[in-house]
This record gives sequence, C-alpha cells and structure tokens, in this order.
Amino acid sequence: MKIKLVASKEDQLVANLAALAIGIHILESALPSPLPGVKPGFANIITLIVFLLYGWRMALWVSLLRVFVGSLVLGTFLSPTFLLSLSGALCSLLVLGAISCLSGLGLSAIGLAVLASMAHMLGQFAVAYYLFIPHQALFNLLPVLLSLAIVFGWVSGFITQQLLVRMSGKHEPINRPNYHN
Amino acid sequence: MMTWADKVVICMAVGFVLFLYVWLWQAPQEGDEVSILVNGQQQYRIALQQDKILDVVGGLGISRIEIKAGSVRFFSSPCSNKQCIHRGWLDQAGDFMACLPNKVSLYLLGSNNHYDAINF
Amino acid sequence: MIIIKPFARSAFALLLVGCLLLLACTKANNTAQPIVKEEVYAFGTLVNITLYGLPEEKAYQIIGAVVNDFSYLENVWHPWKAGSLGRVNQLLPTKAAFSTGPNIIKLIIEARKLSHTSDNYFNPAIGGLVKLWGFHQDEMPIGPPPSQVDIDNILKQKPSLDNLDIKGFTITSNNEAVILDFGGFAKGYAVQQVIDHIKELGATNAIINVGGDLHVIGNKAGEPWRIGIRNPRGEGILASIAVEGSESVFTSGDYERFYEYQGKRYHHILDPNTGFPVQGVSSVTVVHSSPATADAAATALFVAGPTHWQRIAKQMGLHQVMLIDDQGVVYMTPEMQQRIRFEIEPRPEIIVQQL
Repeated sequence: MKIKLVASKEDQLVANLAALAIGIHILESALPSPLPGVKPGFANIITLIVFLLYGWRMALWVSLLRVFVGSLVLGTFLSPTFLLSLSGALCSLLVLGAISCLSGLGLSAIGLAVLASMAHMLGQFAVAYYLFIPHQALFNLLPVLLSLAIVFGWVSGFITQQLLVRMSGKHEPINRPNYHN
Repeated sequence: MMTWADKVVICMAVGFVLFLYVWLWQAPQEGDEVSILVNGQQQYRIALQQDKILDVVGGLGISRIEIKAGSVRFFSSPCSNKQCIHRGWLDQAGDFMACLPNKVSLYLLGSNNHYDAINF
Repeated sequence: MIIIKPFARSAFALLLVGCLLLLACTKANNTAQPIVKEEVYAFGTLVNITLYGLPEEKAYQIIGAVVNDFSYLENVWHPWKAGSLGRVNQLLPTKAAFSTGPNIIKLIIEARKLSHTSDNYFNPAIGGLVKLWGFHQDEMPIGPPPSQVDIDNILKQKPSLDNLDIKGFTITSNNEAVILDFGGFAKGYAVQQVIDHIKELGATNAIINVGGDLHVIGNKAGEPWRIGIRNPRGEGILASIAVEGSESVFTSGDYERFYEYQGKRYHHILDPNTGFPVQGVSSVTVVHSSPATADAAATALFVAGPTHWQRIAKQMGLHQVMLIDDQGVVYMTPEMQQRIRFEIEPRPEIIVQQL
C-alpha cells in the first residue's frame, strides 16, 4: 500500500517560512556575540511577520520548527544552546499569544517586537540561571541583556514593518495585526 | 510608525530595565569569600563581609582563623614555625595561605580573581 | 507570500553554505570548558594542581596520577628516610662502590651539570651540613645553631658532586663528607617528570604548583596563566607575571624553612662556602622553561647574592631573574622587568642589570 503524504497549502506555507527562519537562525549563529547567548534575534522578524499575517498558530509552528530544525542542522540539538533557544522562543510566543488574546493592545510591529524580544531574553535568562549557572553574579548581567533586548527588539520591529510595507505593496505599514486563531 | 501604545510599552520597558540596574547593581560587587580546606577537602566557605572568628580543626590541632574588614588571616595555629600567622592578612581574590603542618589552607575567592596560582 | 527570485535564492544558498563552513571553524571554541583545581599534600608540602580543558573525569584521573608520582618520588629522593637516596647516603661515606637505580643516577648527573654552571653555588653534596643544622627533618629545629668547629669539619673536606665517580649504575665516592640532599633541586626535577607524565595522559593546559614553585603548560582559554609572586617580607602579593606555553616560576626564599634562636633567624639555604645560612638575600625568583634548572638556579643565585648573581645567571643560561635583598631592593634582568608587574604601592627600589 503506498502512503502518499499530501502537503496542504498551509503545510507548504509553514515549510517555506520555516525554511527562511532557519536560514536566518543559522546565519546568525555564525556571528560572534559580545555576551553568551546574545544574538540580534533577526529570525524573530520572520516570527513577527508570520504572526501579523497568518496568526499566532502559524507563528508557533514556524518558531518551533526554526528552533528544532535549526538545532539539528547546527548540531546543537538537546544541548544547552538548544534549551536556551527553545525557552526564549516559547516565552516570546507566550507573550505574543497573550497580546493576541487582548486584541493587540494597539501595538504596532515595533511594540510587539520589543515585548517579544524582552520575553525571549527573560526566558533564556531563567533557563541559564536555573539550569546552567545558578550564580548570583549572573544577575549583574540581566539589566545589560534586557537593554540589548529592547534595542534589538525595536530594530527587529522596524525591519518587520518595512518588510510588510514592501510585501503588501501598500504604502501604509500594517499596524493592525490580523488575528486568526 | 510607532503607535501611542508602542511608546507606552517602550517607556515601561526602559523604566523596568533602569529599575533593574539600580536594584541588581547595588548589591556589593565583590561577593568575596574565603574557602577553608582541611587536608585538601573544603570544610568552610565564608563571606568576608562579616567579621568572624573561626576555629578549624586540622591534623595537629586547632587553627584559629580571623575575618575582619574584608580580609582574613591565621590568628593562631599549632605549628612550630607560625609562618602562616606571620604572613598576615590576605585580601586579594586568588591569594592563598596554608599552615602546612596542620594541613589547613585558605583560598580567597572572588569575582575579581587576580591570580591562577601563587608563587612563593 | 514571500517570493524570492531565483538568483537571490542561489545567492542565499551560497551565503548559507559559506556561513556553515565558518561556523564549523568557530563552533569548536564556543563551548565553555571547566577548570579543575585540587590541592593535595604530597612531596612534603602542599601541591596545587590546576587543569583546564579536560572533562572532569579525565582531570581527576590525571590528578590521581600526579599524587602517585609525587608520593613515589618523595620516597625515592628523600635523603634520610628509608628509600633509594637514603640508602645511597648510607653507602657513600664508606667510599665503596655500589649500584643504585636510574632515578638516582640521572638526578645526580643532571644536578652535577647545574653545579658546574653555577660554580658550585648550587651544591647538593652538602647534606652533612643540612643535617648538622637540623633542616633535614620535617619539623623545624629549635636551635641552638651548630658550632663553628662542627661546620668547619665538614667545610674543610669540600664535599662536591665531583667527588662522585659514576660508571653506568655504579657510584663511588672519594670523599666521606659527601652526603646528598637535593633540597634545592628535587622539587624542580620532580615537577619536570610529573609534567611529562600529564602531557602523556593528555593534559595540554595545566599548572603544577608544588609548595609555591610551579610549572605551567598551555594557557587558560587563550589567556595566559596569571601568577602572583608573594612578598618575601610583609603581607600580600608583591608582583604578578603572566606565563604560558611551557614555563616555570621558581622562588627560593629565606622565609620557607627557618627557625629563630635567641632573636636571630636561621634559614635553610646554606652557603656551601661558609656553612652558614646565606645572609643579605630574602628571595630569588627565576622564570625558565625547565623546572629542574629553575629550581637549582633559584638556589644558586640566592647563594650568589647581589654581588655575583649576574655572573652565575649568565653562566647558567638564564634570562629572567629577580633577586630581592634583605633591604627590599629588587635586582632584575631587563627581560624580567618587561614581564613582571608590581602590585604594591609604593614600588620598591628596582635595579635593572644586564647579565
């Protein structure tokens, strides 16, 4: 009996977007980072775009695929790096989900990106502290990491906005996220 | 580009982070401690912020360790040479002192560990 | 829908491959390695072992081997306890020929070379004097110091390693005053053997610190090892030096083994010419690639003192030397001055002298 897997349109969409996110994830991990675990987080741009265009569920899929497949490609599956990546992604998705339930709170991509970025960093910090370095000194790093998270978040949000403008062909940036759930 | 809500959120985020700076960075940076070993095994690890006198039982008898004003020294020891006592106060992270006959050694640990080993 | 044009797609793919290759090179260095530190009592003193870049299990294996090596060598080379050297010291004064193991023969031959280049300022044949002063026991003597007569009795016989005739594994002494005490050398020689052993076992970055004298190999995650040199007088650290690769830092001081009698201090570094503890020097620090040479050199230069240290250092092929006299004046070579960083205020008086 032949088993045929038929990919739905949605599957294809997810796959394409995930592939893009994975690609950016891999590129990013080649960048040297000033502090361990600090990456500009540009793969989150994809997550944001997906969230704004296709909804939270799709963003979840793409994000998780990015983390899992990205780690498999980089050889960090189940490693500390992987756990950090996963916790960051889950936390930022949680926050996006919460905002989604609250009908967006009037935030544009920039506000969303900043919140998602901070949630990401906090999630990573919690895992790093509880699982790897339960040392008081780590807290000295937290304000610095969060400062960077705000900055990179803002930049990601801005890029997201610009991309969305170009993609939709309109001149108005998409400010009202499109919430399917 | 940025909505009113964005600006509120960013202000709140920045405020939160500033608060963290003040709260977390005010804690004393040193966190210096002394690790006391007897016969190669760590018996005590004590912060140097609190003045303290500690009697440590070694191979020969009791070495009295004194912690004061962020420094530590051997106050008394059962060895004949008393070299450990003559060494005086230690206060730099990475430094160490031992009473060999009594097999008691002190290592200064801290966030600013200056040395990987001491030559003497 | 995000549509990427074909050209951009291939460009992207190429970029991705390029980054993966870059990643392959950098990934290896990104995982944090543990530093394992352990202290053990061995070789008659406190030994500190630091290992970097090895999994914990392997590190503790190596530490076990180090402890074993030092225990074994302490027995073999102890001048007085029942062991190889102890036995040699009993047979030497008989002036009869006898055989002994390669461990002892090699030690004597290496020491003899260093005695020669140090004009016998490093003289391990004065074990008789060491015993006379009481520095041969683990516990420090309480005094009084030996009489001039007793000291002269040994001095006039001029014991030296040249009094030993070595053929193969057979030794004959022609001077009954020769007793071997490798106090200023065995440590360095032992460290060399232990370093060779841990390298065989796979260590590439380590510090072996035996009672303050140490040898380092490799470095700590690309950064050199930072060594603090204790102030011979007073408290705290006098200076620091960064070492890596394969370097020894050995210091001889008058504060290590000594006793006080009637207000006067007698320390364990004896001048083979006067039979008395060396006067006028508080410490000598030598940096060299060979721990055995560094150890013997620190002893020899201590005896040579501020007057002769340059000549002896040059003869022994040393470049990085620091001598501190009993007034706290620091003498050093230009090479040492470049490497060392003083950590005390005010800085001591420094005299830089070429060899």
